[in-house]
Amino acid sequence: MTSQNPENGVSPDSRHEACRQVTENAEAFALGALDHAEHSRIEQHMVLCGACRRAVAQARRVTDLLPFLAEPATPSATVKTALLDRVRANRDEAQAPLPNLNPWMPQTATGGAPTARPGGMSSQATSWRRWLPAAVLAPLALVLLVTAAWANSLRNEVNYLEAERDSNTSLASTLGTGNDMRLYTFKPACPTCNQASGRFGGDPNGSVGVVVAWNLDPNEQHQVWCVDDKGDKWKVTDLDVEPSGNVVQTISFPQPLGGYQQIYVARHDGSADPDAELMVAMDEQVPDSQPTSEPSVPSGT
Amino acid sequence: MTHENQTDTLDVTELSDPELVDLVAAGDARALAVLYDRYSRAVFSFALRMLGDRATAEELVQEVYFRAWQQARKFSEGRGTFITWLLSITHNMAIDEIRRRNRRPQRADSADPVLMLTNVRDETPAVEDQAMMTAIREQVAVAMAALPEAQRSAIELAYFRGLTQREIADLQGEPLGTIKTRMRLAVRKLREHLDEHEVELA
Repeated sequence: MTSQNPENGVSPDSRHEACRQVTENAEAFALGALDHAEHSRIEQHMVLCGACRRAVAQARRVTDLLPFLAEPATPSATVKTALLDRVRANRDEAQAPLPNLNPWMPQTATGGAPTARPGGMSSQATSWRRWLPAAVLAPLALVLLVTAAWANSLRNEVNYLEAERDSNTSLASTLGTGNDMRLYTFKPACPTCNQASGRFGGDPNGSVGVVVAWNLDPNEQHQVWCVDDKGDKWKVTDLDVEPSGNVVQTISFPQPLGGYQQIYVARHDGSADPDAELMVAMDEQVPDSQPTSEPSVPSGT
Repeated sequence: MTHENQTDTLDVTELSDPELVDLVAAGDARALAVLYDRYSRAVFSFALRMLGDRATAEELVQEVYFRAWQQARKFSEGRGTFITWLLSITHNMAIDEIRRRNRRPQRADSADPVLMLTNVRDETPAVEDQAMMTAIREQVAVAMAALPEAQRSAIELAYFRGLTQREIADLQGEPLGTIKTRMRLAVRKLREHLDEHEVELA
């Protein structure tokens, strides 16, 4: 009988076996020559084991130099030009002012607030000032009262949705729960990420889903991956994790969600195979008919 | 106002890699241009080595730098040098491309990328800031040449062709254990040579 380590649930025997596997495979790991399952096992073990991390780091010192074996070659000048055009367009897009969505504010050609009309008022126009306040302010006051009441009801609606979210039941509401909406729970698959958790929601017949996750390490890069019906893994997108470690993100998939065997979140530090560092995985595959969310979270069906 | 407007009197060409990465993370395209000038040849050479055709390798260079632009704030110096990070992105993206190609039907007359490499040569002389990479290349090439053919082939197929050791065993009709041993011995011999000659990225 093997004893369990109360901190991480790994028995000394299984840990010893994992160390032996790393010793045997550190070089293949650094070369990227292990299959996905082997690579993930070593990744997860290294989180716990400093000696194995050092063994892999030794191998990586060599593999990091292999790219320099390539015969020197220079890309054409157009690559740099195209790259810089692209990054500037990307930056400008990110910095562009939001469109004016205020229905009370007239639109201008540039989408911002209107500029002052050139020229002053005529003396005839000045006479309107005498009765303008009474004629305009009365209906304006009525409009303001109605608007305030509407804003208050909106505020109540927002409060209600926030309260719903706090009790982990709002995702379906936020998505506009339909008969086909499903909610799934992420299961931590990495020993050091056991504080991380989250939900994934979407319609199996649609190709849009929402990831809500919390307690992610904001210093790590996180990605959404899927496994298609042929078993091939595809990166869907990067997650934009907030400094707090939380993320709420709408994800567009290339095909309906029900066609995937699995959808998962992976951690990637940029120095390893991106599909190898599985951090949290869905505990069930996306079904095409039956909801599989945990009983405490209404699936909306 | 962009970050470039705020720092337009700064001579970014003199900055270190981590300083440039910080500027890139703040949206400074000039800093990215400097990093491009420093390392685009290494990235392109590596991409060309893996993919075998210039057009795809050039597309990959742009994608690698664009990803660096988007994810600069996630680069941490503690995890290695900038060029190591950049080349690991290149490796991952090139492997993705190779695996995508392998899923597509191949033309019978499609050229072998490895054979094509012998025809791809760059006449541009190495500039001064490429000297370190040139020295590394020479030492790694010497170390690789000293390996037995079977071990060199294992490295080539795994690292540059994206094959797993199981796939290599199937391809070469060898037991999996033999391939594992070759890979382990190859990397250890390379490490001994590189340690002996104190070769490492600055």
